[in-house]
Amino acid sequence: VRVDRYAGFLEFVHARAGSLSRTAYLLTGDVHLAEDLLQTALARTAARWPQVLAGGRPEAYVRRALVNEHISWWRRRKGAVEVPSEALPDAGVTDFAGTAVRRIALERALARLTPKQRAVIVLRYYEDLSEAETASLLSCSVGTVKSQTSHALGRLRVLAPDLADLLVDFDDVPVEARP
Amino acid sequence: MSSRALAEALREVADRAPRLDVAQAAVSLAERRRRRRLVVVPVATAVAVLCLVLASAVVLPTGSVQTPGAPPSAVVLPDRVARPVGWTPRVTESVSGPAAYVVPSATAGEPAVIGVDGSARLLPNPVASYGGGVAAALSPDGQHLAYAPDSSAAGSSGEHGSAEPLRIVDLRTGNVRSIDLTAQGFEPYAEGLTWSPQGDRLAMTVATVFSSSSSGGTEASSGGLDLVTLDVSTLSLRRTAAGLGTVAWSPSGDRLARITMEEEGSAFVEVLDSRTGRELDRVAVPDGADIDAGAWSPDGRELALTRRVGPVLATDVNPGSADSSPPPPWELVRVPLDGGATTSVPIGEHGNPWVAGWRGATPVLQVADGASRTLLQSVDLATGTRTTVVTLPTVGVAQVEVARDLLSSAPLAEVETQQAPWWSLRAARWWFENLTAAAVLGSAALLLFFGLVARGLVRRGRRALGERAERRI
Repeated sequence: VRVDRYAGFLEFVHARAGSLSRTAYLLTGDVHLAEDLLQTALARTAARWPQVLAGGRPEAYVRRALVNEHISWWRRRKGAVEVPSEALPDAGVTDFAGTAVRRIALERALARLTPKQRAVIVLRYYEDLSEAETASLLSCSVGTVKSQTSHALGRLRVLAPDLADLLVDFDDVPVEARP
Repeated sequence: MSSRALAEALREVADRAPRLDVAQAAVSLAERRRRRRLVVVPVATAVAVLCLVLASAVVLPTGSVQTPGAPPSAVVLPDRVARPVGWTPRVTESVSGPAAYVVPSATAGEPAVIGVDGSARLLPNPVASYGGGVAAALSPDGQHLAYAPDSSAAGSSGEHGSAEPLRIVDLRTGNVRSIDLTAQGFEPYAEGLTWSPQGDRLAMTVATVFSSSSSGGTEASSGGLDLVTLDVSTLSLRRTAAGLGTVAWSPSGDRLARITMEEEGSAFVEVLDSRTGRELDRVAVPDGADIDAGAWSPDGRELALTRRVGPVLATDVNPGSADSSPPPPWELVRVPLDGGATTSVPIGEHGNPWVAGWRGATPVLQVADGASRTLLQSVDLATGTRTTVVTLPTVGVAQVEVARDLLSSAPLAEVETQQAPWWSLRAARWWFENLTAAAVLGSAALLLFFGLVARGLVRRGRRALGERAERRI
């Protein structure tokens, strides 16, 4: 019975595990949290696997589950989490030319975005989804995606001024957010 | 393009993520959740249904409800009553219909109404007590109950105007009416509640409030005790006569009898007009102790009352002393109110008997049998022999109330007292409250005990240290 209910699910996950793991990691910024998030999202998907499969876009369903679950985690732990500060702590690194340093700075800046802003950045610039696709995945309007993207980029500029080379010439960055 | 640069940077971050192999764990988690749903949903549904059933069992009456105006022939007098459990529903939650008795329940200060069908209901509030009984009175037809709530239980300070008002409960509907004695110029305490045979008036003793001037102005203080009657339909009080004492209503309701003591120590039955308070007659009764007003015979010609045949001395109630003697025995006194001579018959030495009413042409005594029971006993007027008619539960010397019309003429029947089920929500709450109180008291006692033990140990230790120090010196 179990084989029938989850037929094709394991194969799908094995095929897309790398991509889904990376998305989960980008959303959480932590390997263990990413593992928990991906497991929870996949469990939700498995519970409705026949319907998900019938919908024809299982990966989109998993990504939506990842984003929604991550946002709901944040809402549940809202009272306990650390409030993001405006300024990044001193990384103790002076050489920002290197790739590793840029990666660490971006990770830290992403960690200080709200889950929705983070999701917008990941979906728009990592998953390379259009505004309409992102809006569909987040169950919101295109206007909301635009504004969230604008705010997220603006906040990244404030949080990580050393990443300015990544964030210049975006049309949707509010003027007041630019340094 | 900067968006490409950002995407590249994001990919660098994402590439740090290992491949997370959670597929099998996700399937296991989904399967566990599915199985839990399969168990939890039916169990939660079953629990909800069970709670609804229990709640309905508590809220709905357990016994049949006597409809107003039911033929009197259908009403019987239960000949035996068990003491109701503490989680018995209250009259205001589910009505019991006409009542036969008011008896103490298993919770102190909370009398229960026993319906003619054996159903039991607690009063809406704890009831005040005085002397040997509680301030409650059952109407002759058993359809109304008047009682004075216990002010201390209600959290009132007991000062003028803050005590609980007198209440009259309609036992057919559960409707409660309140009578604020203070609004009519009386202190908020009533004793000796007695219904008229017609059930339209209620006699009681209350204290009148009057003003007395003092040096600084006017201040309120307690006045004298008055016999008043309450018109049950209008809830208005009428001052009938000065003085205190339980009264006996004549069968027609136009006269009241009460015992008064002359200064010389002689006892009299004082017969009053129930509406004007005018004294109509005064009949001497044999002197003695613990004389009660008793009960008027159904034909209105005589009054049956009880008395001790001599005074009760302080030594009589102190059996341990060398010069103690048993208190005087009791006798039943028949006082004719049409000019004849009083007669009496001995009725024993124990049980604090008093006349609860008449059954046919025979007086019925209410007697404590010393085993947490109150007996209703008919008396042979020739020999004084007592025959138990009804057995009721009681606590200590607390009196019970009997519907006098039913006592007079209703047939006796074996009716089992209907106890509230032990598995009801009300029972669970009762046990929880009582066990919590017991646990708190027990914990306090244990803390006190261990505190004293610890203090003793500390003192002993200090003393030992002191002695050792002294030896060193």
